[in-house]
Amino acid sequence: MLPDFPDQKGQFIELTERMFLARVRANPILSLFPSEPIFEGATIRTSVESGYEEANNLEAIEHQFDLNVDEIMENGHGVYLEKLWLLADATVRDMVGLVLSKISETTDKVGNSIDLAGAELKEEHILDMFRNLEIAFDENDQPDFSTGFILAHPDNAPVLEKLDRNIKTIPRYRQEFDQIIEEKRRKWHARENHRKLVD
Amino acid sequence: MLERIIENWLTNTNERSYEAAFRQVLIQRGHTVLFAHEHGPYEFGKDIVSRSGDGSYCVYQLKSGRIGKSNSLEIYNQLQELIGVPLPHVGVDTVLPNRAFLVTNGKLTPPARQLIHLMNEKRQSSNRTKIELIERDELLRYFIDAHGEYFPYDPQNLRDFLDLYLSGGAGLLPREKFSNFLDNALFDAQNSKRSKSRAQVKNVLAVAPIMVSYLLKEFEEQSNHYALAQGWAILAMCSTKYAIKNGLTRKMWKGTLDVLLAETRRHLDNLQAEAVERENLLEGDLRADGGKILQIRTTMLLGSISMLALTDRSSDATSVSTMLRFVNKYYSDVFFWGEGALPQIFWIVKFLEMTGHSDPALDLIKRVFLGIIEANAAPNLQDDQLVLVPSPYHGPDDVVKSVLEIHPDRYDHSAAMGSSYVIQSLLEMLVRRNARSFLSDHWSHYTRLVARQFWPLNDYDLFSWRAESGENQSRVPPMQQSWAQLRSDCIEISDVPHIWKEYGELLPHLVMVYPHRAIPAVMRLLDTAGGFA
Repeated sequence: MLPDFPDQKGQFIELTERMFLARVRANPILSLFPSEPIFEGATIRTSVESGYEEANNLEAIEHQFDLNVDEIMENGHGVYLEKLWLLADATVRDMVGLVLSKISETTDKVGNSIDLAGAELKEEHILDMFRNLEIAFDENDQPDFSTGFILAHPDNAPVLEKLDRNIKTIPRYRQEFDQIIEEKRRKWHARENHRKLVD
Repeated sequence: MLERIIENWLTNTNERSYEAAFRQVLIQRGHTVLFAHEHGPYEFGKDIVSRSGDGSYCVYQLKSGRIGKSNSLEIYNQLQELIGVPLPHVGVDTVLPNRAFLVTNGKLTPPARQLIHLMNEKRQSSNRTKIELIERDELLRYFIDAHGEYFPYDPQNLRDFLDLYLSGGAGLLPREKFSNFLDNALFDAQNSKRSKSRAQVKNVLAVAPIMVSYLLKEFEEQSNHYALAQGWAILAMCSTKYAIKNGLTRKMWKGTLDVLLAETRRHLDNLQAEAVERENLLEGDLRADGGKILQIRTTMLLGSISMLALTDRSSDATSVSTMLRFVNKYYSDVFFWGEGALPQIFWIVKFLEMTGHSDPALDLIKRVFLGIIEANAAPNLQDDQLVLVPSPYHGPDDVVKSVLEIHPDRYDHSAAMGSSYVIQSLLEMLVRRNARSFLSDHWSHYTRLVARQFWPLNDYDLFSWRAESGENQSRVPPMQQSWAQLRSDCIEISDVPHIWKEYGELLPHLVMVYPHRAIPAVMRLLDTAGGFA
């Protein structure tokens, strides 16, 4: 064989693979969710107190790229990096799609979806969404929205900001929102008081 | 190459270190081992007693190095006992050996050889058993022949073999690499063959310890007892999986399994002996020792020594009191470095309880329980110094890397947030110890943690480093819980697979080498009476 530098190349590949993962995880939507490694097996089963159980098998996301000899001769390892970033972007698209479809599927299953049926999004719809949410409260008895977020297409952001403003400032919406939060607070306390060992 | 490797190992080892491999050679040659050195002090010159396939009783005295004038008198006396004292080990105390062997990995000098010759002449005249010699070259041939087709000649396996063989022997045993090598190069490689007779399966099991004896050579040279104990325990796990998969009952390969467990215990004994003699527990390059690293080492040591005290049937009152002094001396340094430390904490707790110190034992469980809840259940996400307890899939070597801040990005423990693999086992330990008041106080916090475990699809995969099939289970604890129900659930072992109970004596070692297998069902078996007896 011709002289080569396998150790140095190995370190480079390892570094770029870590950069690939970091780029995927930096996506604004994916970074909202904690990631966790699965060390063995391919099934994830979750069960809750109500007896509800759900099992999911891991799904593979696969893409591939070709390295052209002429490109490599001309531009060196930059070609690989360029393709790797494109691959990362494609992976992000697939993962975001998978996450959103899973959320959609789950909310449908538990009856938390609101179908506008083509109608314009209004304050009432946002308030309905809050009615369906389970909200936790902090040590000062204030609603804890730290793990909640509204995910929307950028084109819809101005509309959502306007509706949010209206709910906070227009008295009838504000009053309704406060009532919803108060009801959530009452349920939260009832639920928390339920956490105990009994005979 | 095989010859060179075995020769290199054999000439640099002592009789205690090649004894296990030699016993395996005997088993492979159709002998049943009736007695071995570690069984007790009353050996009467006999390191091994076996019964051969034709029913002859054979006795062996093992030596290392050159046997010459200086040690021939001592050996002469031992040989007299070897051939002259009957065999209480076979249950008939009037039986004298049919064949007697002096085995050495060195050679006899002419005067020593002459001495044996004279002894034999005298005995031959009265038609009594003679001393037969097995010296280095013949012994080497035994070990080489034992391998047959099983040496890992495949390039990748050979490379892995050499990586382990030349690993330096000063660090922790690379458990993943070691168990993968045993599976890939030996057990799975044999499994891929279509038809295997029971004898072939037993033969593979008999060869494995011989290979491991010299695979661990550099650890042996460093007297790295902890790594050696782990190596033999991992071999026991891989062998068990292989035996179960191939339909062997425990009884069918008992001789080999006994050797594996005896070797594991021997190295733990050596670890204990060295540790109790030390003025402190620092080790190696002091520039990167002390602090948390010392605490991690202390916890590993105390856990191992405690387990030995509880599982070694030969532990007497003196050795238990030595261990207790050691545990008391270093108890304040015990550190729950990660969920992989649960088995170590468990054995310390059991040892304290066995020696009448139930209160500090219970306090230790409570401390660890609260530690996980505080760290993982409600972490302050704004805290830059956020420290979560890593899962049992991360070993102490990973945690040391985090402590030393080398490659911290590779050990992101944030997946542990809101969950724990060991919290249910700790809860059950507290319930079994009737800590209701403590649990009532902390129940609300406990219910905020998701309890996780991996349950293998195939029962034999409990003994695997990684299982291909199985479920990663997450269970949200009930908000309201009946104490009576909890009491009953945490002693329930009827749904534990039968095979896990059959290999109960392996479980203490299993959870120490593969802490991710310390799932609640296994810990329940260990914590309830007789789980490891």
